[in-house]
Amino acid sequence: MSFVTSVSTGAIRAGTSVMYASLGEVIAQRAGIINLGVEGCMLAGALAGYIVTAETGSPYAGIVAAFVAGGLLATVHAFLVVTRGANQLASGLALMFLGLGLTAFFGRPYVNDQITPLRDYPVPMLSEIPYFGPVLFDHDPLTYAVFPLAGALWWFVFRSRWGVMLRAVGESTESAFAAGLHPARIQYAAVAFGGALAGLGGAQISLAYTATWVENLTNGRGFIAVALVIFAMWNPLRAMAGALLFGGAVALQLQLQARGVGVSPFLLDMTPYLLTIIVLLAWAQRGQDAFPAGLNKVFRGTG
Amino acid sequence: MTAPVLAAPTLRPRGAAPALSARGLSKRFADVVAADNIDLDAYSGEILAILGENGAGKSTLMKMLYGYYHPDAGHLEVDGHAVRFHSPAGARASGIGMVFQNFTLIPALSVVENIALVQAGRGLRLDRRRLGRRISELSDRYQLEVRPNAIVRDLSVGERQRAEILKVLASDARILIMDEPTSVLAPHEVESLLGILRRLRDDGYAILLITHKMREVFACASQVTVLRRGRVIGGGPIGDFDADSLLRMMLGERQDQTAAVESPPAGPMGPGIRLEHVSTSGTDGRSALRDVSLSVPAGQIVGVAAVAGNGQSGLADVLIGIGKLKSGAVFLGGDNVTRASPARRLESGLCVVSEDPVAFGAVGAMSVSENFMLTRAPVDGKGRILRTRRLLAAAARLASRSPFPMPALGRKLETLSGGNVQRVVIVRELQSHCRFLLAYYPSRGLDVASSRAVQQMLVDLRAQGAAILLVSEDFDELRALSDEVLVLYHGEVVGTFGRSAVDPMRVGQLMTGGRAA
Repeated sequence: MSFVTSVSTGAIRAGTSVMYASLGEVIAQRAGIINLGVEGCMLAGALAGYIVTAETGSPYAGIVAAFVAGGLLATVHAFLVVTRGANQLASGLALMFLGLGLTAFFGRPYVNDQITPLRDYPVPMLSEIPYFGPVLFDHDPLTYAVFPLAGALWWFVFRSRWGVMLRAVGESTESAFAAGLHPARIQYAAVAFGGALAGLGGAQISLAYTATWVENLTNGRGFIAVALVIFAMWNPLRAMAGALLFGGAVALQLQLQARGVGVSPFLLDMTPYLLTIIVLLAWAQRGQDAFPAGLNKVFRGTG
Repeated sequence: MTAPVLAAPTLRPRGAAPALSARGLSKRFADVVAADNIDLDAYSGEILAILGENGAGKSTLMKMLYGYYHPDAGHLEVDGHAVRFHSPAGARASGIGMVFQNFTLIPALSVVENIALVQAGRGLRLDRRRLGRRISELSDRYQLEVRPNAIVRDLSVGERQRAEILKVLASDARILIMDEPTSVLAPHEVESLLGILRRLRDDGYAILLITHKMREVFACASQVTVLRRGRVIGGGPIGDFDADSLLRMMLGERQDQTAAVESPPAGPMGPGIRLEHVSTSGTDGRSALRDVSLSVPAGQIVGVAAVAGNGQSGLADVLIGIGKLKSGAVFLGGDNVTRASPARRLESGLCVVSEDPVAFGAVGAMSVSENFMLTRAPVDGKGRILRTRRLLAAAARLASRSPFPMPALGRKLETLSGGNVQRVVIVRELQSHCRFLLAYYPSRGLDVASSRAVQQMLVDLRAQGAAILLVSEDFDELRALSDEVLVLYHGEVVGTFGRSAVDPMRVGQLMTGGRAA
């Protein structure tokens, strides 16, 4: 494989988990809820997926478990911020540490375990195409699924009736309430769904990308996902692009390390995160129009 | 007060149950009774005007009818059937629609999307084409012109209101509650709105029109109910009342305060506010100012007449010193302050009653007395340390000098009605240290008595030698107070009228882009 092919393939492999998490966070933030606990939800999904796969031998059962686990953990966040009116940032950070702690504890017995990984399914014919074949058509099912998902979520957010309701809640819970919607229900659903997607992202790492479990497996990807949401201006398709960019940086530095470039691996490890900072710097002033006006505000209901 | 224009037919459909009927509605907030045992009946094909001052309980009543608040006591009937609403969704299901005072359209969404929000339909798909057809049917029928695919934040106030009405109509409401719909409109827009209401009435809608403007009541209402301090004071067919009798019911014993403000012309007393060839680049959707020169000598009031979005918003930034001028110079009291910081300008006696007091003039999460302290109003001496007791005493002094009733000093501003926030800002800004005043819509949202009091404060300040630039949408107010009236159109001064030479027709033409004849 050439250098370019390897980096491109790696971009998709490494980017998929962040893409799931970003897409989920787009949905949550479109409903006006910042979930900084995405990292925790990813870890919960990664471990739940890993354990269920290890116990049942079926990675597909693992995927379902990851979806549920991520969603459940995010529901805790929804309960705290929507029902109890807690600070979204504080609650999200707490959730992240909760996820980190819980998965470290319950994951210990599985650290050196072997599982049946979610294997790659090369698409017949298409994967034979030079260059593009291996880059695009030789992946695990979670990776294949994420691209249509991004498109579907874009349609959902911008073209469907429910998407209008979702955005309305994120812009102004008061107005949405006055329009006869139930903002709390919509926010619960959005946050839980967002967490569930983060769980899938985690599962893509633990079941396919590394196919192992270690403590803090996601290594900050959840936070990258949150940052990408801003870069993406709350648009699922742009979130997809951002995640690929991040994945590309991961793949690039891995290739450079593999080829023995004379730069400290610690510095190379930083490149994806450095790239994220640069992207945020460049985009800091843009996207203010897309900013959901009700983000991080709490609706206290009426008398 | 003007005579009735197009009196409505006062025929009631005999025997038919009222479209909406309330009995004994009551609501209290903490220690305040906002609505006390209110009865009302609204029939289809009629406009019921709900008349009352700020704080009379009009908005509370409407929010109970719309399911936004739960009444503490009383019950509602729709078409003779008892109903109970737990949320606006319930009210809408019973055919009640509300056009709020602060529009509830979501600025980031398009008109179609906003309307889709309240559609009763189920399912995932948003059928833009079908919805678009429904919108154009309704907008043709009632002359509610709106661009369906425009993003709401790009619309003018009048368009937003039309979109808001369309939204309610499209949700198949038959009972329309209009919460002070004309308070945000320019004069010519008010006329067209009243026309729309009459057409809706003739099509059999039941309309509840909340207002404190007498002219509107006589222009379209069939029935009137007058509220004061949360109670129904009286009401009946509009033919039984004239403007004076309604005003007496509205104001009670305070009617004497409504006498028109005496505003004898005063001579100029030296340099005041002066702009020389000021141009700005319009940002945040504000219209730019183009080569604006104006002069307000001390001891004079200069009125600015303009339809919303024609540059009047930019005047505040220019005077306070927010953002850079493209060209030109700003003088306060003869000093060139073009490069001076906002702090220095405020120090020299500049006061501003901002265009949107809720957003820019006050902090919602802070109490009334804390808000008093926000500008350099001499509330707590010069020290940097807050002395709560002294602050409270100073705030109480300030409030006691207020010509109208003030809300409790400890209340947070976000819990107050728009009229009360306006009172707080007015009392803070219109003090004796004020030498240069820019006042936007100073009586907006205020009732008759309070408006008069504010106008009196302006006239008193002028007598003390303040230079006052008055932006108002109330043409009568502009004419009564101003020594000179400027017309702004697209950021340019397109006309200047002396005190005695103000011709409403010509000003109206200039405001809407017609050149002076």
